[in-house]
Formats: sequence, structure tokens, C-alpha cells
Amino acid sequence: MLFLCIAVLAVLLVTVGMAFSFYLVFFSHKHLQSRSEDLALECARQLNENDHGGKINNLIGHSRELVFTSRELYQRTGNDEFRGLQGLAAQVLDQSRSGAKLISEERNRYVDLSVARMRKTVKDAESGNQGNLFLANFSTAGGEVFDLRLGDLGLPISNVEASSGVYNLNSYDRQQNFIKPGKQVDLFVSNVNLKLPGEDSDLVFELSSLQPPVKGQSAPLRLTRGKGFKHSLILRDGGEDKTGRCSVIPSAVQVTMTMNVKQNIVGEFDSKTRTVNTACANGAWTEP
Amino acid sequence: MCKTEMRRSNRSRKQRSETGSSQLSEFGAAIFLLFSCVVIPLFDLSVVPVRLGLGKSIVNNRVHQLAQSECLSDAFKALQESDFHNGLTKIGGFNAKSTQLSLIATSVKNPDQTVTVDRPGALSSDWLPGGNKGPCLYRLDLAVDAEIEPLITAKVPGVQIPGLTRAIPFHLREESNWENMGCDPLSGEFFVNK
Repeated sequence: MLFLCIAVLAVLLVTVGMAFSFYLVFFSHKHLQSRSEDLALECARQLNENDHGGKINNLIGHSRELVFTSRELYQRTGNDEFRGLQGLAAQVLDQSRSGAKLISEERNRYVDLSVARMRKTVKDAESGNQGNLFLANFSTAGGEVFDLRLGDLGLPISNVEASSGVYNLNSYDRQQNFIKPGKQVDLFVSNVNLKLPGEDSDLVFELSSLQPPVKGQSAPLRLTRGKGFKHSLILRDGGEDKTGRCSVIPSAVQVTMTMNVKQNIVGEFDSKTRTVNTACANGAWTEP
Repeated sequence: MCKTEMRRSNRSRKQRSETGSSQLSEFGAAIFLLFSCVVIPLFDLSVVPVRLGLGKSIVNNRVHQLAQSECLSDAFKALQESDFHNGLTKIGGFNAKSTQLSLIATSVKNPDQTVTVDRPGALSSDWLPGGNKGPCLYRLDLAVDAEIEPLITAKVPGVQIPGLTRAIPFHLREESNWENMGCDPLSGEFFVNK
């Protein structure tokens, strides 16, 4: 009888052990999910911190308009009436073109800076053994960022309002489908080179897909299902850091984290849990 | 019988109890009772909390994913298109009878005031961001009516005892905060109501 009782108790203990292992696997997965979401949100926050991305988008839009009007001005000085002002118009055109190039360089610098900060955030998240958990014969280790991709959610619009002040440019943009008509305002499309006509077609004006403010409210930072996520820069692939650049400011980030789960309560069990989270940067503000 | 054999027989009689071998049959009954009333029902029913935990975890994970949709209609569409029922059935012994997705808006100023909608575009302007009832907390709610089977079910016609002759009915309900609080710049509609 004693032997039987011990046997029943042993079976019960094994069952409880198995149930406990199951629970711990779920618990560790939930823990990893939470860490991954935090990291994705933190990285997305850095993409448009203090609306820097939105401001650069607006600068690109204005710079484009300036180059177009400068070119028009220069062309008008081609006739006899304004020939004396041609030198000045050429200087204005030259300055506006170099301004456009300067903004492009500054945008690249901003992307590089954001990427460097993001890499540091990822390193901080991985260090400190935040994901390590030891409980009896159960342990989780790692919490490694396996994949980190920057990109956008395929939103076809930017936060830059299409100005109707320069009629020729506006009609050209509409012809080229560079403008998306909205209920309140018309907006420029994103992730498309908004090429100017003629000699200024060499300049690249590409806007980031940041959500514009609506009814005075900017879109908040948020997690998304990642449907339609398109990467433009891979910072880490399969656990290895990658180098690279992207031509537009990314507006979304996708983080894949993995964690090793080990237990030997009932036999040896070694598994890897994995979570994928996508976060979208906060929307831009209107210009003051 | 020789002397040595008689001595051995007396000794073995002294070692045995007075009731003799009748204890063996009582012991057999005890084992039967232990197995039939404790061990087997315990094993039979112990699988129910495991299945319930797994089901709850799947429902929680699903509603969390749906709450991250771009707009409310996307969430409803995703639930219809996905094989959510199959996912639950894969646990084994888990039969999802019906699922109901709804959005609950709760006024932060007056938490007693809530409104529940089960389709996109049904929230009145009072409950939208910037409305009279605002600010509001928006939660996506997924309710699942399910039946969880124990390991063994004794099918007895006409007898409906949950856990013995039929599966145990459960009502699972999980919530997650709605993520996209923005507004569509082209249509002007809030994503939470679109």
C-alpha cells in the first residue's frame, strides 16, 4: 500500500511538474513579448523624436518649391526686359539647388544618427540579463534581438501639404499623381521621388510616410500588426548586425526577438520562443 | 510431519494477523476505490485547466493582435478571415462554439459610462476622441463560448453532467487596449470607428 501511495504521489508530482513547465513556457513567452513590444516602441519613438522627421519632410517640400520658383525666375530673365537680373536669378537658383542638396545630406545624417541611437538601445535591451529567469530546473536565457528592420507601413501619404500657391507646380504635381487629394487638405505622396521637370530632375525629393495631423491631433506612437510593413533598411539579420543606408526617414520598425527556454523537470526540454512586433512612429505636426 | 516443519508452520501463523487473508480483499477494494474515485477522475479533470489555460492564452494573444489593426473594420475582417476556430481546436478537446468581437469605449471622466459596439462606424461622435464623453478608453473585447472536454467522457444518453457525460461549457473573455488612436487624413474618420 505504501509503495502504491508513493507511486501515485510520484505520478501526481510529475503531472504537476509538466503543468508547471507548460505554464513557465507561456510565462516566458509573454515576458519576451512584453520586452519585444517595449523595444519596438522605443525604437519607433526615436524615428520621429520631437517631430524631427516631420520637420525634415516639410523642409524638403519647401525646398522643392523654392527650386521650382527659382528656375521659373531664371527662365523669365532670359528675355531682354530682365536680362540684367539674370546673374542674380542664377545665383538664387544655384543657392536653392545647393539648399536642396544640403537638406538631403542633413536628412541622411539624421537617419544615421537615429540608426546609431537605435543600435545602442538594442544593445542596452540585450545586456543586463533582463530576460534571464531561473526557477528550480527551469531557466530562460537570452532575449536576443534576432531581426531588426526599419521601413514603413506602406502608407502612401506624407505630412507635407501640397501648396496651391505656385500654380504651375501644383498642376504639374497633379499630372504626375504626386498629390493625394484629401477631405481637408491635399497631401504629397510618400516614398516616391517627386522629380521636378526639366533641368532640376536630377535632384531627389523623397518624403517619408509620416502621418499628418488631423483635426489638430497628431497620430500617437503605436504598435501595429505589421500588415503591409515594407523594410527599407535591415539593421540586424539572423542575429548579425548589418550596415546600410536608406534614402528616406523610416517610419516603422519591426523587431524579432528570440529566447532559449530550458527545463529538466520531466526529461530534457530545450526550446526557443520567438516574437515579432511592429511599431509605428508618432505622426508629424503641422508647421507653426 | 517432522519437528522442524511444524515449528516453521507455527512461526508463520504467528507472523500473520488474526484476520488472516481477509485483509487482501479489503485492500483490493481500497485500491479500486482509490483509482476509480481519486486517481482516474483527477487525471480526467486535470486536463481541463491545462486546456482552459491554453485556450485563454490563444484568445488573449489574438485580441492583442486584433487591437493593433489599422482600423476597426480591419480587425473584424481579420477575425473572420483567420482560422481562429481551427487554432483553438488544435489544442484538442476544445470546441469553440461562437466568437464575438466588440469595441468598448469607457469615459475616463465617468468610468460607469460605457458603450459597446459590434461593428465599425457605430460609435457616435460623443464617444469619439474630442467628443462630449471624452477622453475615452477604447478596448477591443473578444468573447468565446467554448466547451472543453476532459480526457474521458462517458456518453450516457439522456444524462448531461458536465465533466462526466459531456464537455464543460466555458465563457472566455479577453480584452486589449485599442492601439491606433489616429485619424485618417484622407477621409477624416477616426481609425477606431472606421
